[in-house]
Amino acid sequence: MARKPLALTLGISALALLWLTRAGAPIQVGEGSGPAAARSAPGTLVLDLRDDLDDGALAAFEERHGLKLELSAAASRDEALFRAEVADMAATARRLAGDADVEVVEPVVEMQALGYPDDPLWDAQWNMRQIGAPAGWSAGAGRGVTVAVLDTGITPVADLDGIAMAEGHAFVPGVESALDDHGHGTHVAGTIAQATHNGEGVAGVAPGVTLVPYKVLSAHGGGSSDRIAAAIDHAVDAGVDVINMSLGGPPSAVLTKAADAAAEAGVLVVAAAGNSGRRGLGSPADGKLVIAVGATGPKGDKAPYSTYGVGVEIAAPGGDTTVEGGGILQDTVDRDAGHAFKAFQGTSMATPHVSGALAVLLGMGVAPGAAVDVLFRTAVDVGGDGFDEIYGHGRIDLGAAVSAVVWRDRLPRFAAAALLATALGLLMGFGPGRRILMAGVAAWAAGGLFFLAWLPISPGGGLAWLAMDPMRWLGAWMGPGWTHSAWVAAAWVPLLVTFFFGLNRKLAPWVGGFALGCGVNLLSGGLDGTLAPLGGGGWAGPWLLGHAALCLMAAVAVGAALKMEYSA
Amino acid sequence: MSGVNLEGQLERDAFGGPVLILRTADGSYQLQGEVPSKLVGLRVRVKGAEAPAQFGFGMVGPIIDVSHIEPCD
Repeated sequence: MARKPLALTLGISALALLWLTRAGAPIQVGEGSGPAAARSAPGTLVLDLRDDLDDGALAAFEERHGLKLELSAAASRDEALFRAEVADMAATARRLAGDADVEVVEPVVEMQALGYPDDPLWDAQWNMRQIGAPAGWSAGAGRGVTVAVLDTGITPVADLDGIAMAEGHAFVPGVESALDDHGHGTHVAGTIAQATHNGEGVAGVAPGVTLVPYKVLSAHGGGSSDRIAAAIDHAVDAGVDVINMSLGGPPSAVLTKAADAAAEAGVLVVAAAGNSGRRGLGSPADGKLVIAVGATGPKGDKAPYSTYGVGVEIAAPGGDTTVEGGGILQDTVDRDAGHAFKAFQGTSMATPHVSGALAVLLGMGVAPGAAVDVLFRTAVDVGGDGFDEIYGHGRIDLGAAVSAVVWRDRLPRFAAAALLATALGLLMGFGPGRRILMAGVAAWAAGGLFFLAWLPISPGGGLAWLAMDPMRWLGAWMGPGWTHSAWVAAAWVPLLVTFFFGLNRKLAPWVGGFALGCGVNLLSGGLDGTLAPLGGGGWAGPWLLGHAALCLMAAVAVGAALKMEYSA
Repeated sequence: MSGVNLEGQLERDAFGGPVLILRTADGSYQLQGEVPSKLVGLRVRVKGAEAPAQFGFGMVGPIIDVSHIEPCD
């Protein structure tokens, strides 16, 4: 009988491999592009003109060919990419192909996203591919984690639709709303949590998080050290997990002190290293406990503007807009269109990659300190000489970090739970080996179906919840304030499951194993600091121990009832 | 807010929004205020004062409120 589950597992693995080979596949272009593919029919042509054509030359081009050009997208002027409605695509395309101002002309091809994710502009997001972002989506996408974004505010643009956002706070004189009146903050928020695999726009690193907007920079992009420090204090009191600061300025004792105090309180504080291109960090990046982030370009090495020096801890893609397609593309506010997908560069853009990656790891149940360690340990050593002043530990690799957590943390922890369940089953005489196998699998699954981290699942779908540790479901569901609640780090779920299903003969082995797995989860979470109920104070240990004991008792009770029934 | 007189190359960059940068021999400054776009790319002389709000996303150096700017001969 045990062969069936094994065959099922092998089958799922094979399917997973098939999916993985498709993961990250670029958007497929329809067959037959170029002028020759145009039909003799009315339609739309796309024209890639010479980049150096000014407005006068464009007007002359339109007049010469009797065309009305429209930009393909608001951001496509620099690339001179236009659309034109024509009466005869084939004839017009042949004529235009002979014009020296035309680099490429062909019919507009409706793209169909076949890969994963299905965000149409994913192909332009070299940065997300470079850091292995898809692994983070399948590992819970940061669900249950709150990230404060201290910036120009956040406006819920179209491609943030469905992303959890807490009430915002404004720390700019005369401004009451935390909505973005500039565009920088929304872009940064998009890198952290753009709606992903939603068939629209672009992707983000950790779309499962709850964003908390803090408007600390004005519509002109300026802010003061004392007000930013006040916002940090507020965010800490509000119980956020990560603070993202894509901002900086001269050395400021008050700001650096606030940032370090936040880190001492257990919040992960991430700040931009700066864009001077020179040595020497300002505040708040110069905080001893602050994670200062340098920027890399599309080739993965140092971006020319990235500030370096003592204090740079890690690097991430910040983009390089001097290279075609080298910027970081996200959805943000636009004065004319309402919103637009814009490519920016800067350590401002690198910082949210790190914040998002840390949120993913926290969402997997990794303790804050351990999350930083694993991100540093798995970073790509770009400089080649270990830790240095340009890249710190290296360029982040979220895919490697997620794998490291699964292999070195989740897998051993729940393998131990499975072994315990098996031992308990044998000791109590559960009966046939099939039941012991069920209990072992259930104990293992009590830590979340971590193997889903290797599958291309939607970060917004139900499967993403199954990848999470069940202990975190309540906190993730209830949102900020509940994540670290004692109600979450408790035995309620296994006790309820035992109460309702423990006497069901068929389900009992699963229920017993699940309760035991939850007990192991509570104990190990207390030991490694992942779970810190009741403020993490002196009562946290007895609380976790007590609830782990309740889980064990539930498992023993189920085992005893099963044995009695089996004996009878 | 101390007054400053600077001379250097004026550049425009897009660190999350247009940022005017003055690159001098001593370092980089971020300029704000009335700066004619025709001066971008030129060597310029700048009079101004350090802005009261020195924090932002530009992070290229001290932020200067420009009171006067002219091209170098």
